[in-house]
Amino acid sequence: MLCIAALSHADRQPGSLSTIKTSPTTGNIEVIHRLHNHDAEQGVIAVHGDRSLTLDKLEGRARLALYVEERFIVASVTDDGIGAPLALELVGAELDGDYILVYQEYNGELPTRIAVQNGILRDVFPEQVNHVNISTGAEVRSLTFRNDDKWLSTDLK
Amino acid sequence: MRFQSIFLVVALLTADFAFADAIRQTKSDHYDAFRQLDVDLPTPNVYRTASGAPGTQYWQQQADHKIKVTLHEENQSISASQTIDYKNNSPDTLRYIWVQLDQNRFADGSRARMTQTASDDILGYGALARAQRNADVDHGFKIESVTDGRGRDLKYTIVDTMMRIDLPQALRSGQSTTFSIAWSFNIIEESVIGGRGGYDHFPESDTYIYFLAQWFPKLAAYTDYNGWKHQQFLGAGEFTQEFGDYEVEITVPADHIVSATGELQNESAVLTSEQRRRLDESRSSDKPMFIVTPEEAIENEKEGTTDTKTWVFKADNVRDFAWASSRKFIWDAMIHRQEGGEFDEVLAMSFYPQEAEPLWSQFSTHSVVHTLEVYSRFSFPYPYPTAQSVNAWEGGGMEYPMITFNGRRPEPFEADENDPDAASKPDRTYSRRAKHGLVGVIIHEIGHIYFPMTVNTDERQWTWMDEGINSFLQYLAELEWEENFHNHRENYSILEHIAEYMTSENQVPIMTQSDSILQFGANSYTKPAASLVVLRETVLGRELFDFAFREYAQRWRFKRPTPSDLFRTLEDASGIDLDWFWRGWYYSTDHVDVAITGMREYKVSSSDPDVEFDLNRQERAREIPETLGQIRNREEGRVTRLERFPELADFYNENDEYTVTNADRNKYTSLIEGLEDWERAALQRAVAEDDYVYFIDFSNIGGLVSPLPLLLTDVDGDEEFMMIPAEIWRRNHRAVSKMLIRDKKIVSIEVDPRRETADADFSNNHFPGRVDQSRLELFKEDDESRDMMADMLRTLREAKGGEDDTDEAVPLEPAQN
Repeated sequence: MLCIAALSHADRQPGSLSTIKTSPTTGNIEVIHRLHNHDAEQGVIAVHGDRSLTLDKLEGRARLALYVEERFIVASVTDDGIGAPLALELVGAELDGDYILVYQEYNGELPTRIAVQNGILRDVFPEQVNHVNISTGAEVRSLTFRNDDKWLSTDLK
Repeated sequence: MRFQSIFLVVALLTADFAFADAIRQTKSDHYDAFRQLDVDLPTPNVYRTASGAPGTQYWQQQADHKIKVTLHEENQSISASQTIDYKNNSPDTLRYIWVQLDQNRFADGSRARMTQTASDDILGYGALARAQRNADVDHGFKIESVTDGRGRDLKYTIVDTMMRIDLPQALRSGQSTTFSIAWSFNIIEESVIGGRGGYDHFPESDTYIYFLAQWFPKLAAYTDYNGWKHQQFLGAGEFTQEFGDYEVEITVPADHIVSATGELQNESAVLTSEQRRRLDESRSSDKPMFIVTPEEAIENEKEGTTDTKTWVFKADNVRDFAWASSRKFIWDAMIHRQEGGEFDEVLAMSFYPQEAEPLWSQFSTHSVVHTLEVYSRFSFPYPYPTAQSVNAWEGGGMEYPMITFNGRRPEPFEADENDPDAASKPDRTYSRRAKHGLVGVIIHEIGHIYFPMTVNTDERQWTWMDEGINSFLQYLAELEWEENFHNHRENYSILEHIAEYMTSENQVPIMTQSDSILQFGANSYTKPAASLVVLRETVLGRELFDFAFREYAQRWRFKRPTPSDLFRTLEDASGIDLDWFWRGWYYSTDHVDVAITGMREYKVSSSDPDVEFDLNRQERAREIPETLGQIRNREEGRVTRLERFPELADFYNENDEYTVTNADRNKYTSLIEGLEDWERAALQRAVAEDDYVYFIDFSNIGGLVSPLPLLLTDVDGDEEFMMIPAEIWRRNHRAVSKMLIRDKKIVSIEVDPRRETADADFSNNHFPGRVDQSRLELFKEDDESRDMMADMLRTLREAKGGEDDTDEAVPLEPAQN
C-alpha cells in the first residue's frame, strides 16, 4: 500500500499533524496544520462537490484554509468547563512538497489548561486520525483525535 | 427527543518507551543508549542466524494455484473454480489448512464492517452511499464447494476473512495435498465501498474498468516464527503471503484488454495480428510504443459485445496474483534490459483509459522502467518478466507481483471564455503536482514488487518493513527522476516532516503491530524511510550502507525476513555497531534534538610569569571595562589626589596583581623542571603555535542519540565541516563536551548545518544563538502570496454570506417519536 505523500491510497489511513507553539520572535501563538495534499484535495473536492478545486489553485487552498478554520477549535479549560474559543486568525495556506500547510495565529498566551476540537477531514474520511502537538517550549503535549473524539484537553505547565 | 451534545474532556495517558528495557535499573535512572539488543531480539536458530541470514534449515511453504475465472460484466460479478497444490516444507505436521478469504471484509457482519466507528454525529454523503450500496448488493465470497483431489467434499469452517479446511489425513513434513474451491462474489465499486480492488464506473460513457485484487481464496502463510498467520483482514494491516506458481485463465468480454500478474500465454487467441506485431516491436523498443492506441481505445469503448475471450497467464514464484480488464484500455510497452538476473529483458507496460491522457502515455511506462533501474541497483535485478502499471482509479496506488494499480488523472481543462482559440485547447490538463504524483505513485507501487513482493515481509505484522523500506527507495528514485522533484521550495527533504511528528507525546514505536499503529503514515512510511536516509547519508555513509542493504535484499529475496534479520544483516555487513540506532529509531519514541549549550575558548598557557602575567593584564582590561565614573572624571579634567600629592604613591601604585615576583619565577622554574621531556616539548610546541582550545557543550534534548555534524566558522570566515560519530554519547546520552584545538579563532559553530539528522529544533543548534523565523512568519513576509491569499479568503467569506455551498454533511434532524 501507499505512501508518504501526495500518494494517497484508498486505504492508507489519512492523518494530519497540527502544531501549536509560541513564536520566539513575535510572541504570538502559531498554529500550523500539515495535511497530505492529496487527502486535503480530496477533502475540499468532497466538501464542495467541485472536482476542479485542486490545491494548485489559490481558491482550492483558500477553501481548504476556511474549512480547517471551521473544524479546528482551541479553548481554555477552567473549573467551570470549557471556555470560549480562542479567536485564531486565519493567515493562509501553502503547498510544501507532498503536504499543504494551513496557518493560524493568535495574539495572546496559551491557557494553562487547553481543550482542542479537531474535526479536520473526519467528515470525509472515517479513518482520519488528527494529531495535535502543543509545545510549551520545554515539552510537547500531544492529543490524538480518532473515532468519536470531540474535545480533548491537556494541562500545560 | 433531542439529543444533547456531550462534551468529553479526556486526559491522555502517556507511556515512557525510552526506558522500556528488559532489565530496569533501580539505583538510578541509568539508561544505556548503546546497550546491545541481544536480549531484545529473538534467539538465533537453524532458520534464522545471528548474522541476519537465512539459517541452514530455513523453510517456507509452497502453494500453487490454478484458477479459471469468468467476469460477468452484466452484473459486475465474477465466478471461478480453482485448484491449490500445497506442499508442506515445514518440519511440522498439519491437521488443517487456513485459507484467506479477503473479500469477506466487505460482507455483511464482517469484523471490518462491524467495528467501523462514527464521528461527531455527522453522516457524510460518502458514508450514506456506502450504507445504501451495502444494503443493495451482497458482498463477500459465496463458497460453492471445497473438495479434495478426488472431488470429495472437505469440511471447512469460515471465520470472518479466514477459512479453515480440515484435512482427512494429517499432512506430514514434506508431503503435498491438492484441493479445489468453487466460488463467486459481487465486485465492489471501489469509489463507493473503498478497497484495494473492484471496479471503476465512468458514468459519462457508461463504461467500466475492472481491477481484481484479493479476489480468490488464497493459502494463508505458515511461518517458523508465528505458525499460521490468520490475523483477520480489517483493512489496515495488509498481507502475509506464501510463494507459489500460478496459472490463471480469465474469461472476459471479447473486446476487453487484460493486464495481469505474469506473462500472457495465448497472444494469438486474444490479440489481433496488428496488436501482436506491435507487441513484438515493443519488445525491442527503448521508448513506450502503443499496442492499443488512444484512438483505437476510444473506438473500442463505444460498442459492447456478448462474445467472450479467455486470456491465459502464467506466473512463477509469486506471492499473489491480480488482474485488470476493460474495453477502455490504451496499452503501451517498452523494454527494460538488465544483467545478472532471472530475466535479461523485462517488458514494462501501461494500461489506461482515455481519461488518463495526456499524462499517462508520457510518464507511466517511463516511470516503471526508471523504478526498475534504480531499485535493481540498490537490491537485485528485477526478478520477473513483466512490470505493469494500470490506471485503475483517480487517486492512490496498490501493488501486486508484476502489476500495480495507480491513480492520478488529469483535470478537465477550463478554457478562458474569451479565448478565441479555446476550441483548439486540449480537453484535459495536468499540474506539476499531478505529474509528480503519478511518477511518485508508480515508483512506489512498482517498487513494492521488490519489497514485499520479492523480499516477502509480513505486512500484517510489520507494515514498516515494506512501506518504510519502499518509501526510502522511492525517495531515492524520485531524487534521480529530476532535480527538485516534488519541490515547491528549496531544500525539501523527507527528514523535515518527520521531526515534528517525532516530538509527539503519544506516539508508538516503529516496532508496533500494524493494526495498533496510531499514525499509520508517519509511523510506517515516513519515520522508517527517514531513518534509512539518516543511516545511509550520515551514520554509515553511502558505500557501507549500499553494500549492507544490498546484502539484506539478496539474502532475503524470495524468502521471508523479520525485523531482526534486517537489523542483524545491516550491522553484520556494514561492520558498524547499529544497536543504538535500532534502539533509538525503532524501539523508542525519542526524537533528535541536539543543542549547543555552551562554548568556552582558551589558549595554551606557557605558565611563564614574565609572558603570561602581562597577557592576563591585557585580557582583564579587555574583559572588564574601565569604570565609567573614572573615565568621565578624567574627561572633565578632574585631578586625583595622588596626582596632586605624588608623595602618596607607594609600592602598590607601581605594581599590580600582575607584577611578576621572584616567587612566581621560582614556581615556574620548578614547574618546568618537574615536567617529563615529552611534556615540556608538547607545551613548548603548543605555545609556539599559539592555538585556540575550545570546549563545546552539547545537550541531547530529544533523547535519540545522533551523530554530530558540525560546521565551524573561523574569524576569517573560513568554514570547516566535521562529523562526530554517535558514539560520542556512549557514556552519557544526555550531555557531552567536546574539546577542539584550532589555530584560528572560531567565531561560530553550528550543529547539523546540512539538516541531515532529523533534528526537530534548529533554534538551539547555533553558538552564538540565533533566532530562525517560523514557516508562518516566512509566509507572512512573502507579500504577494499573503495578499493574494488574504483577498481570496475575503472573497470566499463574503460569498459564503450569500450562497452556501459548503454543506458537506447530509442534513439530519432529530427523529420525532
